[in-house]
Amino acid sequence: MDFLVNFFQALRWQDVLDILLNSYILFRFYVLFRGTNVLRVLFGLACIWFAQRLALSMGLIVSSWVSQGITAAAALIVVVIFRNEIRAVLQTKNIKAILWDLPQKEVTTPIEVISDSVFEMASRRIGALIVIPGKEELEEQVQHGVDWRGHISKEMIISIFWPDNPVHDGAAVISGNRVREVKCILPLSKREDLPSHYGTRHRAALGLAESTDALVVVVSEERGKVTVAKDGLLQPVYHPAELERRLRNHFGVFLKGRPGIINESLEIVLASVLSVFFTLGIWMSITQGLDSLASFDVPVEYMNRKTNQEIIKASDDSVELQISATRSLIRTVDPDQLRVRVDLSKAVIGRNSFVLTRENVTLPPGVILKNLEPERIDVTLDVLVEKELPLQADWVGSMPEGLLLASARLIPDRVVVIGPSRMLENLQTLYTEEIPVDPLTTSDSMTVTLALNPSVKLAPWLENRVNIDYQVQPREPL
Amino acid sequence: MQKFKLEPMMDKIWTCIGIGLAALVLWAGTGFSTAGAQSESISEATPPPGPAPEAIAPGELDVEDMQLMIGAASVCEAVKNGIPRNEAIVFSISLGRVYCFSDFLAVPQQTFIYHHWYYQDQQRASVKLLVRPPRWSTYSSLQLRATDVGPWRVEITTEDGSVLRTLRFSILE
Repeated sequence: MDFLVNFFQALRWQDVLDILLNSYILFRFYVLFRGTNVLRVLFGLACIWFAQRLALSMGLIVSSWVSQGITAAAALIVVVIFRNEIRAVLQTKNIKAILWDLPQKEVTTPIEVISDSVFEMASRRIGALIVIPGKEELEEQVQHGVDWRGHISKEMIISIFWPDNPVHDGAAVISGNRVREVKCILPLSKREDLPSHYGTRHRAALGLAESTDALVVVVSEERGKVTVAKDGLLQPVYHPAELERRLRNHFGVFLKGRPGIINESLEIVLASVLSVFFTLGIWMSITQGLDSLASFDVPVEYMNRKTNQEIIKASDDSVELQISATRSLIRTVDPDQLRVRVDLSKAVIGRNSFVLTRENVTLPPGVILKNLEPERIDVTLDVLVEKELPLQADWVGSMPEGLLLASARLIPDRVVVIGPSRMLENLQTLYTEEIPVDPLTTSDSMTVTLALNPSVKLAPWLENRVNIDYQVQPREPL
Repeated sequence: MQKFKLEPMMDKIWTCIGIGLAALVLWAGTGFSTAGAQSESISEATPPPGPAPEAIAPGELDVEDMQLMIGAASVCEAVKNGIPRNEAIVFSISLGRVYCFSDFLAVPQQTFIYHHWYYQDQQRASVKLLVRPPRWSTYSSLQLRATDVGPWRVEITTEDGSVLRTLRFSILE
């Protein structure tokens, strides 16, 4: 419980922003790369990183060092290996899609229609080559054919590949629920281990599957067989249902109601929550693990003192605060941000004792109070009163030889002062500032000020000025 | 009043008795004052000259109507023949001693007065002095030490504490 209290006390708005920002970045990574191997590798890297933190906390020096090295090297390797995926994400999606668009996973491509069309063509021995792009762009691999932009239908697909159709030669590229292009030329695979019954269509399908994440459906004109090329592999498909399954897998879509499959929106929510927890874990492991202590001597501020009261004596003018925070934060702590306040609203005239608690201390966000010394402060209060006091000149120095200062008349000779009653009780005379007598050779006058105790003030209507008329006389020999 | 108009012989006898009694009382007063001194730096006045130099003849004052009335009072470097010398408000510590002289113009009855010596509002000494009718002058003195530099005051009070005069001065290095 104390841990949670301390945790929330230490949490600054900057930390919350930090966690949310990084959680969102992590979530976007998931959204952009889900379904690819990048995410799996990143998850593996995260595991290694946690293992490194664990090894570090347990004092396993070599393990920590090795896992740290792997993490650092793996980050570089990931960029190299998955450069295509990363490039695809950055090239194919605009800023809006990268930053905040949620993936549209609706099935827009009529899978059943494609499947039926393919097997219909197979039964009729009509050769066909259908490209269904993945996440990667095909601009560099596919040579453009003829723009088609027709809504997919069984009849249209069959008509495209109908032998007498001028565009039947080449590949049709499907995008969403439309045939985007026809008569496209695909790169040919250079593999030499392909079965002899595979023709140019198969080689073209494999060529594209080797270089991109596209799925290519091939219908053999000679044998009436259906083959799917995906991820550099050619696999025969014997039933429409099997082709549908492969197409659904390619689109990353699962059939509703299938056991063990989660709803997509639930998946997004779960991913976002996990992102927050994951980032929170990283944040805590970084910040909480680097706690450091520091001591500051902070002056005590007395609040809500009644106007007629004066502090006569305080057992301590300052309090030593021992605070804890992250190393980076503690370096930025300004002593002016630390405050110790004592509420005098309920104090009485005389001696008052205050026990200092955390409530008396104000700390910047993220800083935790570990200890304070002293834990109690005694404050003696007094009431302010007025008192009329006589004035006296405070002469210093030495009179010139043969002269004496016979008399001096102070104007005014009495003043009213305001100060703590106990102090004024013992104060019977108010002295001027020190006045050197050395230059006094003749009778004259001067203006001086009063030497006032900091706790004692002149009445508001008085000026701190005293005129002195003094008489200098020759000194007679005794 | 008729009594003071007796023949010269009786006047001389009364005068001798008066002087004798005065000397006795003064001696007793000296002992009192010295005992009352609270500081070694204070020594009570050397026996005052008794009646002031310009003493008023006892027969010229109405004793019943008189109140204790202080006249001249000062702090000075010395008192010689009942007269203060070099009255001032600053004194060099090299003098070694300063005096507080007080002249009472009217003394209705024999009484004690006090010279309270204060250094920066802290009482350093209190000297009890006898004054006698009809007029009397007396003094106390302060032996100066190195630590006495600073502002001083002497309060001349009656026996019941009423302040008759406050004299302020400074001791300089």
